[in-house]
Amino acid sequence: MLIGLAYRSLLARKLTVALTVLAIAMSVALFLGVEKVRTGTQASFMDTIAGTDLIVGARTGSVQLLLYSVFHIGNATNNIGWDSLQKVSNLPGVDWTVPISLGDSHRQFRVMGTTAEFFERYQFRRGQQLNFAQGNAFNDLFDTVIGADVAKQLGYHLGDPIVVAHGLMSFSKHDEHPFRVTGILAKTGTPVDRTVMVSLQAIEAIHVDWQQGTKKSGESTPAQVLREMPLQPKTVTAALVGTTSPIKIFSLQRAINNYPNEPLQAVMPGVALQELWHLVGVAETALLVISTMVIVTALLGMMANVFAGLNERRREMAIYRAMGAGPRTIFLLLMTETLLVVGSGCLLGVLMVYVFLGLGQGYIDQQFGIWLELGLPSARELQAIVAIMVAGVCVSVLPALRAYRFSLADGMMVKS
Amino acid sequence: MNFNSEPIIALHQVSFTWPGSRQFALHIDSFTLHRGERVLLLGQSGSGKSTLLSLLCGVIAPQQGTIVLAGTNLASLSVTKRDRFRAENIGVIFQQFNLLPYGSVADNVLLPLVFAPKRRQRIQQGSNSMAEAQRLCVALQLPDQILSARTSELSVGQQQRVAVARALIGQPEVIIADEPTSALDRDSQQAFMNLLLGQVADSDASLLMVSHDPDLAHYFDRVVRIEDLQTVTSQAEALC
Repeated sequence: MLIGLAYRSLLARKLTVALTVLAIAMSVALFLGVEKVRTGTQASFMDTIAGTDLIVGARTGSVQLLLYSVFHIGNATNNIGWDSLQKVSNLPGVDWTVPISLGDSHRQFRVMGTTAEFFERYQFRRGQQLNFAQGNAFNDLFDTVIGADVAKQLGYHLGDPIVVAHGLMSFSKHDEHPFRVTGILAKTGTPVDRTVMVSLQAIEAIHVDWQQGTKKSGESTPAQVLREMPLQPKTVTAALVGTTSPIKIFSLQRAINNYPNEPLQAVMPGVALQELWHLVGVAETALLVISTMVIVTALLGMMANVFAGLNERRREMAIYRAMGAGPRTIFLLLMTETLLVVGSGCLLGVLMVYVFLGLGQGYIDQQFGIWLELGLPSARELQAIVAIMVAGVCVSVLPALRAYRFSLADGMMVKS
Repeated sequence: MNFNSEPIIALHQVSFTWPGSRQFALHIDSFTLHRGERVLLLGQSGSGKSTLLSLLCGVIAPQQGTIVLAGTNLASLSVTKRDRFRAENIGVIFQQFNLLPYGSVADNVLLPLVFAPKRRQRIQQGSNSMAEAQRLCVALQLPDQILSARTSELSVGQQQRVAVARALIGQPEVIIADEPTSALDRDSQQAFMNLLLGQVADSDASLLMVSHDPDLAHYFDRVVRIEDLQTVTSQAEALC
């Protein structure tokens, strides 16, 4: 009964009501959008590396080890010896190890020395493996595989030459030994996209003529000679480790952390990622606060609209009173109208988010590496919608009370 | 016409002052409207006609005295019950028609039934609500298919007849009309009064119509001047 009356009354003011519904819908969409981006970002972040049970590096903080070995942010405090890594590889329960060696760069991108096994072992986002968009892994000493962002931003294609710079901010270049792009990886949304990958031996090779960070004087060793040299590294920056069984992880971690010959540290990527996410959680909270404020603003705007329209509606209230509606019915009518407006706003907002996600999901994944799930609203999102509805009811109480008082004072005799 | 039957409305020693108002007070010693009776209440602007109608409808309650409507003392009812009682027993026609600007003619005519289940039941015993609305519209000489029209599309005369249909639907015992002819020219006024009185008679209702126009007197069984009811005194007079 009241719903029908409220609906028709709202229809009579469709322009104002439509704008109010739109304002609420936009704010709800923003809130849910932020929530989707937050959960999507978190999920993508937590899936940066998968299938790797432990990351082993020199003893340092777990977050720092994760930052430099996976995200390629900052530098290692120390390297780990090749012998130590071999010992780790031979520990019972270790299935595989993939060493990585960092230090050089190409323009703004990090260069990572590793083995071809890296392309088979590195997994991301629910166990997806690296795929080659073009070409294949390195065969020659001076072959390189580049990530999707490197190829896109620098406009590289298969066969293009790449000159590696020594260190991260150095003007010294290994220009005597240019690399050739033999593979371009498909987009992953992980730091791999922004990495230039070469073989461990190549890292050794380009440093043969270097000593303590500077190039030795004299002629460079020819590439053909380098190809025939034994180029086994003495140290690496870190290593990704896979175990034969998940139940071995803790004992292996303990064993590596207690390795007597060198101060090593093994961290579980998931745990370290979680720690790192907590560090950036402040930004997440700030986003939620901002979107909450947008919702509050929209609801206050709605309340202002209802207040502004009340005086014009006194005659309507008087008609209802004359027909037998009590002040309480008038109060409930106003509340019902508000609920319909807020409910429509919430529904439209949810639809907007899903349409946006449906259309932009692939693009966002490609551009930002964030996979926004198009599933049913989560419990947290549903709670948010219910909270918005409750808040809408709360802010409508004041104008509804005013209408109640009007209807008491005016009775059925408003004349305008 | 002989009206020795029990009164449908009876006021006794009713006093009312609007809260906070020092300028106006209404006092009525006695007023009675019998079943089936048609009474014209004449009074000038500011004489207290609208206040009296609000009292009769139970929208406001007197500070003193009793108002008995259809055998029920309104003072004995809670505010909510008074609202329901009004919905069930009184049809109201406003001076300015006061149709809801949104919705169709049918929405407006059927509106009282939303708040008055008994009026709804009365209709459903022999017909259905929409058919009854249609019957009233035809009886009031409104065009076919008007039920689906929007009220904003109607002429003034049509709006007034829709307001009458709204008051009559579900056969309330009393029709209260607040200057319903004030916006009509003389010819339209006559046609309207004939239709209104005919339909009131058909539904066995009593009619209390308020107006400042004494020319309407010949349509009614009785004419009462509100001044004769010793109705309005200023606060200053009351204190003397």
